[in-house]
Amino acid sequence: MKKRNVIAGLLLTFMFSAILASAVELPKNEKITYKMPHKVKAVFENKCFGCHNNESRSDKAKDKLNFDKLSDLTKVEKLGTFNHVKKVLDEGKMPPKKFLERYPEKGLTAGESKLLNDWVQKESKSLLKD
Amino acid sequence: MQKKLRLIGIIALVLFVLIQLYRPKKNNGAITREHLYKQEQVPAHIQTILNNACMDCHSNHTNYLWYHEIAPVSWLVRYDINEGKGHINFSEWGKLDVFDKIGDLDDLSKAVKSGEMPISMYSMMHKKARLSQAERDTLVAWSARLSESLINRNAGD
Repeated sequence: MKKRNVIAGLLLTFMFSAILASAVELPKNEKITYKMPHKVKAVFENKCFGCHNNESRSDKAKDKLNFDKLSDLTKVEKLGTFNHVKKVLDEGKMPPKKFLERYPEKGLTAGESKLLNDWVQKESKSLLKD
Repeated sequence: MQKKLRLIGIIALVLFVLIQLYRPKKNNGAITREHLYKQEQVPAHIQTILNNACMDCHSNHTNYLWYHEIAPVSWLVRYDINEGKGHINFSEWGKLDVFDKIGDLDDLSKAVKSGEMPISMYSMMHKKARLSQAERDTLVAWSARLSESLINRNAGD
């Protein structure tokens, strides 16, 4: 009886810690903390985050757009940044051609580009309103 | 030897005269109601800075100096104007939507803060375009104020 209790207890503790661990780990897997739909975030993380983050070796890239700092920007700065992203997407300027020569799989499909562009515009509109 | 030098001189002179034949179109449009100054209340001291340091390349009207007429300077001037207007054109301000306006002001403030603008070639030739730190700060603060006011004016719709 006692043994069974111990086993049950161990099992419970194990399950609990597993749940806890997964809950703690969840945000760790997400590179971008700015709130956005999962689909949008997945594209940004796969295709853009690599150069546009705090640790990026390209100062130019993180100067123009840094996902790690996005939430800290003022409303004006956010709107300015999103306007940039929109223009860059419209013109198909990102990811850079030279980069794509080496990593062709990082290119944005037309669908992905539209997904990002639509979100950026929607987000800008709601920023303007609140 | 002297003959050779003379020949080179003559060829250079002929080339110089020939390149004058290509005259780029002048950037001398009139100020319309779409211009920044007609669209927004821009304080006089800000207008002075903008006129001295920005408007030659970022509007439809350039104040030309005499040597701007001479090739190849005239080509370079035209190139800079095209580049500048491609980024921001204050003569067409009224045609932009609010997001593009805020985007342009964000560009302006970053470029002025970092010293990227005005370009060194321009400020070398235009003494008044050499902005002091105080003038840069003033311009950056104005651009933030204008963005705020654009947000406030457009928040309702």
